Amino acid sequence: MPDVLRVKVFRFNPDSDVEPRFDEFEVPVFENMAILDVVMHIQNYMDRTLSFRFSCRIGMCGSCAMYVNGRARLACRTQVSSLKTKDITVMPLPNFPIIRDLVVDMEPFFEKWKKIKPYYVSKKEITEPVVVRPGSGEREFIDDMLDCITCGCCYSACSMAATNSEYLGPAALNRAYTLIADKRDAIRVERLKVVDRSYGVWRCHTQFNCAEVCPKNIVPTRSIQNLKRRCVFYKFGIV
Amino acid sequence: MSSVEMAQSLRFLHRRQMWDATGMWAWVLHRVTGLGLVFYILLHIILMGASLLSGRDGFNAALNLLMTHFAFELLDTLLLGAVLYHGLNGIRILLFDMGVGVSVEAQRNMFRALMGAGFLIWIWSIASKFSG
Amino acid sequence: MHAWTWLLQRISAVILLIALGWHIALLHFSKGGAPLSYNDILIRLNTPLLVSLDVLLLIFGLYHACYGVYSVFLDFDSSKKERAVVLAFLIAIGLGFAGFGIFGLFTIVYSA
Repeated sequence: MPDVLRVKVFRFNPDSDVEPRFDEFEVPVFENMAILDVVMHIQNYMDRTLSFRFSCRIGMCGSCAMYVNGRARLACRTQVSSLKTKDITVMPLPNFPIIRDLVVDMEPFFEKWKKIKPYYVSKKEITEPVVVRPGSGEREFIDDMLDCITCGCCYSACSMAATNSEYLGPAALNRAYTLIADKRDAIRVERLKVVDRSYGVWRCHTQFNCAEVCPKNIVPTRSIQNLKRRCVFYKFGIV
Repeated sequence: MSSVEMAQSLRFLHRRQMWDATGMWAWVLHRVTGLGLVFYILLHIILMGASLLSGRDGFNAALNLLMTHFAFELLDTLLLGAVLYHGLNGIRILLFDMGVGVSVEAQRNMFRALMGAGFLIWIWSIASKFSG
Repeated sequence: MHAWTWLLQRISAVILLIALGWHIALLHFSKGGAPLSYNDILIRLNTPLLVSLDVLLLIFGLYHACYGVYSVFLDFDSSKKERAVVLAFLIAIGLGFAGFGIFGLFTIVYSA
């Protein structure tokens, strides 16, 4: 392992800068160092004005997503050693407006998240707990897709989100699927109609960028493919 | 240009898309071949229709040129390549639509296998065409 | 609407895989690479099955092409009006070219 990293960090302060620039820093390495450690070191000892988001530092909150050496990653979960180079470039997530330095405006992402009504709505007639037999496999697919921490990595990797500002994006569609596939939910059909739009599932062309970058190993493509089938089945009366 | 837009425009200069993803390249090429084939099919319909309607001599002259001139033979080879790529990757997409191979690893393997087969078919076609 | 058009795109894809494969094999490999003549076409067009093949190719090929182009267009931001204009244009192209192709085919079939 090299002793020192050559780190290029994207800097932009709309209040004082006319255009963005890259600042270069030499950061000493320690064992098991993560990218979050790198930017924290820069902020603590080299440039206090560097802005970035983080919170839990253990891959649960989704705050620290950044574009590092060609991919969207969680800074706290990306080991410097895994990049296999001492040249590191840190940039804010693509496909989002930039607030400052590495901080992006997540509003477009959450606006679309809200559009699919990302919360369970109980059927009024259900008064007893719903029985889901362990062997039935009903929850198998859904449960894998529930781990989403809304970090925005998938949305920033998606080329459809890059070119179409209305596209709901992998995260919102994935969450929509977990609820539409849930037999207990009361507004499944309403949600299906939201995703069955040209800016919904039909914009996905199965590039798998989202699945490649998801830090929780979710495959939004799979959820979206299932949604496309459900949209077609719904036209034939199968809900 | 607003400062936010200016900051965003750096995206293209500094590689902020994911160019190391197989699936993305597969899609890019699918789209490029698709648009090329659209252009071709429109040209083909006009050409074939017009030359057929122009009568026996007109048609024979046109087809003689198209099927013997080296430049057109070359273009034909590229056309076949485009058709093979678009068709085989299309099969991959049809499989995804049926729920088969929808994972990062599987889609990469499917792409490689289909492209390998396509390449062999392409080479075989070129060889059989140019060996008379 | 999108569910239907998407499904039809897939159906046309399967039809094209078979029909196009047949078309290419028939026309480019049947005479060992030698140029086709007007006579060859007349013989072919006197077979109802092969005429149907060409009609299938025209209809589904043009549908697949137009939907594909529309899909590319939708991948970018556009206004409602722009979408309507492009859609109308593509439908016109599709119907126009299919019409011309079918007209050409049947002119030859019935004049020979």
